[in-house]
Amino acid sequence: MTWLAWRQQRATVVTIAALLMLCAITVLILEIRTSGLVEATQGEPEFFAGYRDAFGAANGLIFVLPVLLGAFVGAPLFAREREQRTHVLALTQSVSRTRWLTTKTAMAAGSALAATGLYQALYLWWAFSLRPLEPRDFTTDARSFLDATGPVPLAWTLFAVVLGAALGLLLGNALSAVVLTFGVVLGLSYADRALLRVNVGHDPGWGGGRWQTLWPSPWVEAGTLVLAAAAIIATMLWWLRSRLVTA
Amino acid sequence: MIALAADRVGRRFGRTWALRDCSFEIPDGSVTALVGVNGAGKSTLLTLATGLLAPTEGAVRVLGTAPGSRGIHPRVSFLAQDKPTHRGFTVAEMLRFGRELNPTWDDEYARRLVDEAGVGLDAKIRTLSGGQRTRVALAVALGKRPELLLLDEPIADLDPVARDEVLRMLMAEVADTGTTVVLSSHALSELGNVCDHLLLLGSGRVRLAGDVDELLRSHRVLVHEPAGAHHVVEARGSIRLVRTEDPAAGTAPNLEELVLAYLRTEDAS
Repeated sequence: MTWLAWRQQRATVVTIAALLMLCAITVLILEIRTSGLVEATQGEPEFFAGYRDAFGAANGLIFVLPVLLGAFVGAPLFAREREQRTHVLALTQSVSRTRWLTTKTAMAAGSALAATGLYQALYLWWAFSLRPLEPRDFTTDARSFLDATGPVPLAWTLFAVVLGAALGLLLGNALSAVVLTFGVVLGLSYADRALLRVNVGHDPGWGGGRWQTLWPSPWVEAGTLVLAAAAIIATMLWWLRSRLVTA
Repeated sequence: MIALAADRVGRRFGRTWALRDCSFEIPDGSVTALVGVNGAGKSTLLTLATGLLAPTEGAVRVLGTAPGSRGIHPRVSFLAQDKPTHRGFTVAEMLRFGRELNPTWDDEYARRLVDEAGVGLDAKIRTLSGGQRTRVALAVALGKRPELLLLDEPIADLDPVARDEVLRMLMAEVADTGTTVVLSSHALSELGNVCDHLLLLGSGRVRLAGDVDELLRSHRVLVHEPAGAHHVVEARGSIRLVRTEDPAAGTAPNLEELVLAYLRTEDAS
């Protein structure tokens, strides 16, 4: 079953790896330029104005990545099987439905988590070389930096991929599953940022900002998302074992 | 032993019953033709046997067990009507699919079946003709070495040559291993050479079931003869197909005549 999951997701994994490589090259070039500037100017902010947008984009991508991975890795996972009716083929071999669902989901979630994790590491590496600078010049707020480097983007990625997989299994149509996953995950993560966070003043240090959020800590937010993902997987298993999948 | 049994099975989709009150037994080692007009419930019946669909009422037993939430019985192979295959896979990868997902897989046998079909192992599934794709799909179904093989319209979209080849491949398998086969088809003339049992569905119910030879013996075609006390299945002008045990009356029908008479008269029993 592992072989089948890999064979079906090979192309997606290769595409993600290629895009990640492109990101790595871009960040590498930017890092070389900015760290040179840090040394030459002792971190005078006015010299870095040209890189502010690039750093903002690099930061923003961390929050968009789960949405993209949910829509393009999670949503087609079962939707395409149902479109081409290959789920009938797989489910009439000798593997259990549980194993079919969990192996495929684990492979998709694993590769998506690796992508988010590697990108976070890349971002962190660049951000660390900018430590001599005032952080406000580069990140819009310190909490956003903390969230970008902590467990939250990984948890969002897991949640998005699992939600996409479930919508795909339910709808049986790749296009609508992709669109719906994109919309729902984007909406939820935007609502999380917009509604559950209040700015109570800036902290210039890298170590965390004075941002109040309804989440007591990033770990609580991440834990909630992981629990939600687990609940979705349980629902999918129940659905697959009881209703199934009209032929 | 009974390979496939149904006990008052019904399956409803929304407000429509696709199958209703179906009871039958298909013996081990038989080759059963499942016939009926479009929408008679053939695909629904086969899907119920795989466990991909659950009956609304009644019970299905496959090789002595009820297909449950754990999925298909491990010794059952199913080939769906549209013959789903992974179109981006090569033929070798489709065989590997069978090997990875089935502990009872016979790789040598599956490769031989593909080889006999004249299909290269490196060919992509999407480049194959309909007949070749069917034979690869059948090789995957047979490579599992099933005790019961369920085929939904396996030859419907094939040309006459490919039909003949596929049926030969199937019959060779049955002769070698004694696998029980249930196949639905509209190709009545081809079925006569292949099947020894018949299960005829009409409007979701079993109209006729049993051993083909016995069914042919118990029906006669009468031309310009009064039906008398015999039960008339169908009357078309001066030709009547009647149900009777009297061998003196009229002539024996062939399978095609028998099936057609029942298919044309949905309400007769």
